[in-house]
Amino acid sequence: MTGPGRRLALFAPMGLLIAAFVLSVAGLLWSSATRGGIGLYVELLSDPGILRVLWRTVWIAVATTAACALLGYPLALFLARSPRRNLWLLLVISPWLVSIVVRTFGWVVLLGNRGVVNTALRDWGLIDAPVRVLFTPWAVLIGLVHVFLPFMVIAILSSLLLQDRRLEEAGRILGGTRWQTFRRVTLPLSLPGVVGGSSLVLLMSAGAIVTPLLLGGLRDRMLGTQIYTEVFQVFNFERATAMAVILLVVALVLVAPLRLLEARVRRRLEGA
Amino acid sequence: MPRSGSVGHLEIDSVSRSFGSLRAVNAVSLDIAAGEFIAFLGPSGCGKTTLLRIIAGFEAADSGRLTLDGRVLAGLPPNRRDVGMVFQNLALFPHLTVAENVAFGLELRRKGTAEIARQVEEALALVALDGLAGRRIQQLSGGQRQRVALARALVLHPAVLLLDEPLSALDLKLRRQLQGELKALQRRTGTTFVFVTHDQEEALSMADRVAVFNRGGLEQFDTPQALYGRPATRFVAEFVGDANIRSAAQLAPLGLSLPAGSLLVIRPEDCVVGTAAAAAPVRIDGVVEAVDFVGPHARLRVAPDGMPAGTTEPWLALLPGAALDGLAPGARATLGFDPARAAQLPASQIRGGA
Repeated sequence: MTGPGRRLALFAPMGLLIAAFVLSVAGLLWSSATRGGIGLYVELLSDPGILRVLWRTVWIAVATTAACALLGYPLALFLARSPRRNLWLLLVISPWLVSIVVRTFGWVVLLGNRGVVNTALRDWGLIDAPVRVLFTPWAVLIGLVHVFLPFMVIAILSSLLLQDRRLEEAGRILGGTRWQTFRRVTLPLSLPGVVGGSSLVLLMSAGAIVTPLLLGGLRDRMLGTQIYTEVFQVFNFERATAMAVILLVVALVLVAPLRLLEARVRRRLEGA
Repeated sequence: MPRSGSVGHLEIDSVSRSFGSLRAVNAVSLDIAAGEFIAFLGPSGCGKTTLLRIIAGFEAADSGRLTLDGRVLAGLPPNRRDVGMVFQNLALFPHLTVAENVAFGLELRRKGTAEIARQVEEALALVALDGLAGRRIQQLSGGQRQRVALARALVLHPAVLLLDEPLSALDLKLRRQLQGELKALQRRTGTTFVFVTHDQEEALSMADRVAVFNRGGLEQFDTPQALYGRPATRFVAEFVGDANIRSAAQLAPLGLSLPAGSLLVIRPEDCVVGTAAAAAPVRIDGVVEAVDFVGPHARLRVAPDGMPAGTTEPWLALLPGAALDGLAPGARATLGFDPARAAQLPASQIRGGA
């Protein structure tokens, strides 16, 4: 095959994906508009319970992203410098070999009132009563950071590996200490990776379902779990649809500034 | 912006460095005077870049001593050596403008804003880049980038400026132009330059003295004229310019006697061919194998007539273009030379080989 035929063949699988995505979002918007109408949104957005869920979703997503960036950067830097990078990288992504349900359930075992952490703290006499972490937003945060950290590490690592090591040497010989060179050369040049990884983690954690369901319990819900409940327990598809649209908007609003930032950083680096 | 007094006296005392079983730098000693323009010349993998990186502080020497104006450099990180460097790929900061690149080192030294602005302007003027201060690196041509890298290093007035094949990525014409500028810049600033290159013509035309490296060792450290006229080793004779290198055994049939084991280095331009050869002290009859006419001069390869085995290596001659006079491949010709103009390599100094 040559020319347009070949290009079409290559594009076909991608086209199917795009079509499925566009159709599902269009369907979502359509059914929301026809079945619930604007009144449903007014009702949802004036419900203090839903607003709490909305707010919780936003801060957990933002906190997860920040924590992943803060933990992931040093890890990515270590990987980028390590001669045994591939071995370490395997360890970083090894959680992906295990189902997310199993991994998250591990945290239930660790964080519960009679879990490993509380038992150990009590045995050492550091606490009298168990610290309640499981079924709080903190457990969700811990679980989400655990699940999404590898994405952040890989995004930052790739931008660090693209960097020319001679630039750091140039920083050193021009008089920079290791720290000054990191701050003025390595860090700014790796910002596209940080921003890209952040967009990814922000989107995924805003829409997370499994982790908040298992670690947050039914009281401290996020939007994803709320939608899950509406569909599978309450069977209220109208509310679920409207909330899915709200989630979509929230995700877009959260990621938009990051995309703008990324575009700016890239323009600056590539001098377009 | 010359530095006051004479700074930039770099002493390298039997410095060695190995990578695994490879001796990258083998007991090299060099005494570089303040304000000298030095070239490190050698084929790739000869250790010249490793030595440069040891001077910069990016690699540590396994043994030996480095001093700059009496200061021992061992243990000092690159940022405290008072050494500048222009990298092979220039390593300009892509996220900064031209002026910000040049100001980088000044800002680390916590100079005042006005002082930085003044010095950046001065440095950009020095490399004829005034007016481009606000440009991004990606908007510059290869030659302009070269000058930014120079300005960025020179604005700090380093005692020694190391240059790691900075011109190798440029086309020939731009390269020749920048070679001239670089030399003029070195004269003007009085900074000690250590210039790494694998291009012998570049090394000879630019440097006050050239250090020739081979397989980690220093072959010869001398002025360009001495290097060419009196090569110390067979490697130098072959690497720096073209040469007809003949052993005592090969020359005996021509009536020349050399000490056993020694070699004679006859430069192609010291050979004459054709009628002019009649007056030469040593003459060889043969057949012209190849002629390369390049305008001002022509290169000839002459295969000598059947002589004792091992002596029929072709001879190279470099003639003025006008003297070619009908000499074409296949023509019979006589090649002559004057052994008094040839350099002799004593047996004890014949080592290496390309």
